[in-house]
Amino acid sequence: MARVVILGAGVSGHTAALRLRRMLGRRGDHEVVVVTPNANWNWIPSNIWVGVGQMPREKVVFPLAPVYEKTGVEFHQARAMAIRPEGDGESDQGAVDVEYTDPGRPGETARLRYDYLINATGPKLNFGATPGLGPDGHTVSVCTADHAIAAAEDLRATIERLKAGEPQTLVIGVGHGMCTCEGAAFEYAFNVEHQLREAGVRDLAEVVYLTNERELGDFGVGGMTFEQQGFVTTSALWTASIFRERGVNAILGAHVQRVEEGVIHYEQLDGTTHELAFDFAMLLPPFRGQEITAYDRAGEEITDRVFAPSGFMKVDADYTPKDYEAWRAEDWPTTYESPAYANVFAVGIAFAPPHAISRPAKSPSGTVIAPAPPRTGMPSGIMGRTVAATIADRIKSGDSATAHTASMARMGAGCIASAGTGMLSGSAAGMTMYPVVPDYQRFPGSGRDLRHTKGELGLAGHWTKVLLHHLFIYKAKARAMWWLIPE
Amino acid sequence: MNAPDHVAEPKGRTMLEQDPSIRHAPLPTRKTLRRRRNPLIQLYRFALLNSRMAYIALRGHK
Repeated sequence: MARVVILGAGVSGHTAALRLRRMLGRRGDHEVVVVTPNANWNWIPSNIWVGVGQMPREKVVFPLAPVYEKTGVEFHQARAMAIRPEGDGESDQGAVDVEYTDPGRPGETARLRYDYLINATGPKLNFGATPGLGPDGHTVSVCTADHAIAAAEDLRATIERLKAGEPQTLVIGVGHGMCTCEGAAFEYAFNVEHQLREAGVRDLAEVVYLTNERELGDFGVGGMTFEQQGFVTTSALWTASIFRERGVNAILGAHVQRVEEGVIHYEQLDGTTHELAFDFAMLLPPFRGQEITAYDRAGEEITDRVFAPSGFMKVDADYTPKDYEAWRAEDWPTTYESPAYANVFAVGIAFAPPHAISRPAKSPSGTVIAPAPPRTGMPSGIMGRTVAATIADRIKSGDSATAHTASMARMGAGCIASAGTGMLSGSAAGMTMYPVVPDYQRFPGSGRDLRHTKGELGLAGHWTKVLLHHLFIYKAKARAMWWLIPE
Repeated sequence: MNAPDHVAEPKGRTMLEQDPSIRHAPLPTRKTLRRRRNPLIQLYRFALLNSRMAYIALRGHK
């Protein structure tokens, strides 16, 4: 009998759990165990709509326990504190130390043994990296459903002030020079702009997109090149056009130094520092890995062998420091196996990327201002499924079974960036790219296959986002034939 | 020759100087904006966008 422990139940962890349970058989001898501090699953892409008051919380979250009970997955509502890949004094079997967050087991701890471990813990929302950032500071966030509800309340109050004739400045973007998920900030900016127009108060509002991207349309993937109407154009021009059409301003190449009540202090790539007064601000935090310590069998700490300094887990990537010109598609991991322990994997945001995708940039004072690589959504799900397939093969055929592969440099992605809701008045930017990580050797010029790298704006994108919302929640609830829905 | 059917620049406060990349970006015509909201045209675009995404999801990662 084999025991697989999965830390985290986001897109990658939940996909891995459901796929693995199905691959191993519902009534098999093998155990699939999920450890996550959250009682609920959250379809994070739709938090954008919760954050503008267009969708209730109940539509984006559901309890995990009934799904795992139905599918035969053991569920522990707990936080992983430490991993012991070599075991401990009692056993050489790997183990995870957990602390329960389940309200029914307050303060309880446990050591869970595993044969295979998947780290899918996602990000720690590192609001602390920027003084004054986040719900405990002076800005709101849409990273969780609860954050999004608070953002919607703050936005509602801002709209009320606008209706009373009081001009307002709304700043939306990222709260640190090394943030990722610029696409989510873009979505929220345009959904807010849409709500302001719907409320009839757009004239009195200034909407500012504050970003660490050097140019618009970078989205942490170094931008995209499209072929459109006989021209080769860029996502920078295409995105700037949306900003001009909707009257949204942008501050580019910015690192937020600190936030005070009503004032954002930021530095730009040219080294200048500025202050921006605001009435409403939604700034995403930078991410780092969850705080998990690793120990060897003797109890000596080996965290730096297993994790990168960022807290993300090292996998089969090439982490040799290189200049941008020397970055290669082959640097990116393919199996997501830990180089230190072959039965340990990391997927989704939890794996340490070898480097960024966007061109790196620093201000004259040395502040790094460049997006970190996104590893959410479709790529996360594909990684979860790939690692599940590797583990299932090894359980059935032995540890010599070849690992399945899914490099982000060989993987495409679809991204729908909502720009407003409404089945006839909504809008979204629909983008596909192949591969996610540009491969300049394979696709000279843009680094991507232009047949599969496309972007368009319109109502169709909104309908697609609505479809994906229902499709992925259906799948995550493991309803009939869920497994037919691709990642 | 008729002037292009550009949309008017949107209203809104402009305390900040507009970034040059936005100031010089192409502005869609009214016709383009109508196309982006026309249900029949968008139904076709929906099918196209989803077929591209399905291709990426089913084959693109191999």
